[in-house]
Amino acid sequence: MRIALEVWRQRSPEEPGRFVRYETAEASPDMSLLELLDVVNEDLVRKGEEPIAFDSDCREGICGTCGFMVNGLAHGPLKGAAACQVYLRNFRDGETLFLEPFRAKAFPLIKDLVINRSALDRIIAAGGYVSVNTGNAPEANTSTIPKDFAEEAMDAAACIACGACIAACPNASAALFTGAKITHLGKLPQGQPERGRRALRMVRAAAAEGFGHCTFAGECETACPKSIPLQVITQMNRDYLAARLRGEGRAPTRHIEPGTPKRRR
Amino acid sequence: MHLDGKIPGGPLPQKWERRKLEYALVSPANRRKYRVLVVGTGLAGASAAATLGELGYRVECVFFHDSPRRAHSIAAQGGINAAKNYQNDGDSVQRLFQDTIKGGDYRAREGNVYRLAEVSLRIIDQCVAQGVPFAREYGGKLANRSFGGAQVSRTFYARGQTGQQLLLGAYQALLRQVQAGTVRISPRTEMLDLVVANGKARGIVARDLVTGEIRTFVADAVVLATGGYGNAYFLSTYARNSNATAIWRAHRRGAYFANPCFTQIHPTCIPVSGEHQSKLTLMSESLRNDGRIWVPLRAGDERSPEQIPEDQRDYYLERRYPSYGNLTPRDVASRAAKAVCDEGRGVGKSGLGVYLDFADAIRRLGADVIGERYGNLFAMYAEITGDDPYRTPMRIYPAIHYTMGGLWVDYDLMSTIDGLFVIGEANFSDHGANRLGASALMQGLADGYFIAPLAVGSYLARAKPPAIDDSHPAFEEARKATAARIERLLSVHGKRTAASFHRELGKLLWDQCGMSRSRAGLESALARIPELREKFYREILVPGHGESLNRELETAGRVADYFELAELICRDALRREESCGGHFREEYQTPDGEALRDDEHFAYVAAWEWREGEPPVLHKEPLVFEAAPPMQRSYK
Amino acid sequence: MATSVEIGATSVTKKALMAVSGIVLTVYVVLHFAGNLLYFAGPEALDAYAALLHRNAALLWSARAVLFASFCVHVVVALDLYMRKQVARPISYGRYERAASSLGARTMIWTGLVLLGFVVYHVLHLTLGFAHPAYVPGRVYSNVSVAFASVVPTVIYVVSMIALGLHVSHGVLAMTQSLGLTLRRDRLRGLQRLSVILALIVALGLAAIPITALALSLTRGR
Repeated sequence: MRIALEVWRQRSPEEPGRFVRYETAEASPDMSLLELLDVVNEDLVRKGEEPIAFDSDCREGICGTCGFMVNGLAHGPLKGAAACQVYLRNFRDGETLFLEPFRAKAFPLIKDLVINRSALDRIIAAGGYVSVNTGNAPEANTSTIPKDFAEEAMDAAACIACGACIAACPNASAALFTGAKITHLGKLPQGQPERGRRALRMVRAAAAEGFGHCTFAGECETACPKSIPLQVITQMNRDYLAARLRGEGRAPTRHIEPGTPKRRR
Repeated sequence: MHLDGKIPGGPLPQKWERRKLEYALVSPANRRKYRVLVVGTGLAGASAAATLGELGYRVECVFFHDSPRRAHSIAAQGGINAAKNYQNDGDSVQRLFQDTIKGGDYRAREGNVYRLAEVSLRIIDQCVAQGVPFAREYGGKLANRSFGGAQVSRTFYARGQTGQQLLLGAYQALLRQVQAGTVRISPRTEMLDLVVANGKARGIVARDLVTGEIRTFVADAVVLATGGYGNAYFLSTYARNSNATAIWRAHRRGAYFANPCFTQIHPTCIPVSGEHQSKLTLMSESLRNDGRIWVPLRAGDERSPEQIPEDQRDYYLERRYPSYGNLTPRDVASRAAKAVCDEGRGVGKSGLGVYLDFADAIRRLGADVIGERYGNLFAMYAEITGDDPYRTPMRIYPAIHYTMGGLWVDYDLMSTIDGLFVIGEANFSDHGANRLGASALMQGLADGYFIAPLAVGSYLARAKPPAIDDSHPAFEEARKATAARIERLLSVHGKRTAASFHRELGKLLWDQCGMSRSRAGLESALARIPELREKFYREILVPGHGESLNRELETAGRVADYFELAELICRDALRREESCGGHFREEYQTPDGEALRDDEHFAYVAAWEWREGEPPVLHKEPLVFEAAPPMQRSYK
Repeated sequence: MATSVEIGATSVTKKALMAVSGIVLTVYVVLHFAGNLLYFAGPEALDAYAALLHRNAALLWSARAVLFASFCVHVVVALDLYMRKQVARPISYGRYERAASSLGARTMIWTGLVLLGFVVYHVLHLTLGFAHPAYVPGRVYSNVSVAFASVVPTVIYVVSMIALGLHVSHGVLAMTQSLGLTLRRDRLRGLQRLSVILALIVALGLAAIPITALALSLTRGR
């Protein structure tokens, strides 16, 4: 089949970018979109031109490395699939595909379709974990977790941090990403002690990175290759607001120790 | 040099306890004086970096991905083994140990494997405490499934995404340490050389993949957790960027490479569809719990699967291995698939495929239950092939999936270079000649959480590495050598892409050193590879320059190392004149086609030493079996 | 890479403010709508209802104060968030498709701006009597009838009520999630339907008044 590509080419963040057209007749319906890019790139290299830079790794939709806009949709037209899982049989013969990087202030462009998503790591670093050192763990089966809770936690934990939710969001909000981790850990008994603190810190970290706000339009859920449900955002809002209302993290706890200086009554 | 595995004395169950007591300690206040460099952030790397950080060492973590969470451990589907015996089906540490030793076809160290089985218990505890959402029963307790090579249910899982969830647990622990300031991470930075100064590993040379800058990292100990080398075969289930450069460069700097020919072929992958294919996709082995594998009884039968009546199907695994049936270990299942395809009974366009059929299971359990168990795998299969596995059997074929071989390490996971530790798939590890399903995750986490942090600490306490900085001549030399290698690749200006060479090398390896190997084939490969390598350096074309993001340059550097590695793989396969585990030599088989092991001559670890400009030297570490005496490995 | 976490109003807090003020405004719209339905019961009923509302000045003015405050918060925070949208994505897409958003969700800011203009006009028009040909305080029914005898105000009102319907259809849904209230998927679906139905009722009901008034004056005039 014949597929034309309009690809965003930008050598560096400083230089201006533009769409460049590539035609190829070597496409076949069993080929994945990224394999088509491989073919175009091998051609470019043979012609001595710089190939299109794009990120990919596992190519089975789990590592979250790949991702760009295909005809204005994050990861392309399929629901529940990353760009590497989109096969050409999903397109018409002769179709033109517009490939453009995910755009957000917090995702600075590196080159062509490659962006820097380390902001997502920093959101997790702010609180997306259970604080437990290696060696502290009690016997695994001492905590029981209702099957439904474990399933809901797993639904949220399936996030692959590809950034599609942010890319698809009209406001470039990271609410689905942040909410997914808050929901995953908040559903489990192990996550309870830090639940409020986690929500406060992660939401603030997302804001500090420059992500936008959530308007509940639902674009993120449809764009998510793991179909993470929108309710994780509701859960995030709930945990965050509850922690704010409780005044968590505001008043430092009083330490009364033997050495505390004595003052007059 | 005499290879000393440094296995502690005493009976098996006490070895690890004893070694832990023997370890020297670094006091908490002194730990921050030591810098430990961890390369790679898969299960082993992330867990080791996090744990070392928790202990208080200054950890530097270098990886070529854009985030630690991208490492290929994330793609492991099926599960992780642990001898918890929650199912009361007779499991125990001893049984997991025996299964692993037997599964590895008696080519692994008893001491290491026993420790692995022991530590497996604590891995599950640790992961649950981190919030890993393992599958649960309605009573809220952990669920288990069974896996190839075992007759007990000891595999813990999180849907088909166990590797992802375990890695996220380790990743989160790592980022917690980053936040705490004990670990510093350098993403998009690829290790290109190891620096050995005064006989000790003291750092690495790495390239910043975005700016192209050549950077050096100085440390008191270096931990390599850079994964396996299966991508040498081009088409594999590895991620696109998984590569062997880090371990290969360490090998060239003096770390012995052990058992390179022990590569694992996974029986359940989606068959190759065309020329442009960039990688093979694995379908979890857990599918074999409910799927039945068959081919038509008659060669050249081109009817669609539904049209082939029951009595004209050959459920060859159930027929040949009645007690394990479809759950025979990976090497056995893969070879059986190859055998039936060689007989012309393979299915699909290419004739390289067998059916994995769920019709019986769907009839027995209903499509809902099957969907709950394998829904995402089925969806993935349908997306890739365009076929619906609920209606028509899947087509599967074996593919390179894991490498049991790797850098040689002693019981303390230290290589033949002082201060260079190798963990996870990168070492030659605990799996012998064949790894059982759901054991890779176990080994990665055992090394990272529980073994390496103690062993590294003890090394630092005893060696007390003197202060050094990157003005040392060893750093200077390594930096220059790296820059020269990059310059060489950029200056050829030939006409072929690195990928085209990789494809050619991979096909050669797969044909001559894949599922079955022969003297003639290996010798021809050993003649072809150097020719191909020379051609590579004459005709390689790398566009652009080194001072920016340049994927072609990255690939070319990796492919350059694959040539040397491929040669070593073939050399090792040629030297090992027996069939064991993933290594099947056509000359050494029983009359009914099973692997014929030769314990008298080959019960050793083959550790290869690099020699510049001359053939590598083989060192043998003999394997002693006291607790699990070798027997014919039968799954009948 | 350590993340610094600062204290300040995050977008979640701001959205909660939007939601709380949105609830006040929605409740007001529903009550206002219910009261206005008395238009169809004739002049006496409507004027009596208006007199009832004005009987307790303290109550009236405190209600107006709450309403005005909510309105201001809603507008100011909405504009603040909208400005940040551009900050969060400084370079816009060459091509961008919205695959999931409802019409209401897509048009929130525009329907909101229409409503802002409408509220100002509406207060001047039918509460204060400016821009009205024959305003008599307390004579609500006749004021309405006279006001909508001409086409232009009627069209303005009907268009505004369409905007109100769209705004409410998404707003009711969004405010429940902003406050973290709807955690179950099945309930979310129900709520989605409910908010559309509510929006339809309010918008149609309120638009019916000027349309009826116009129709009556046209038939009478003929």
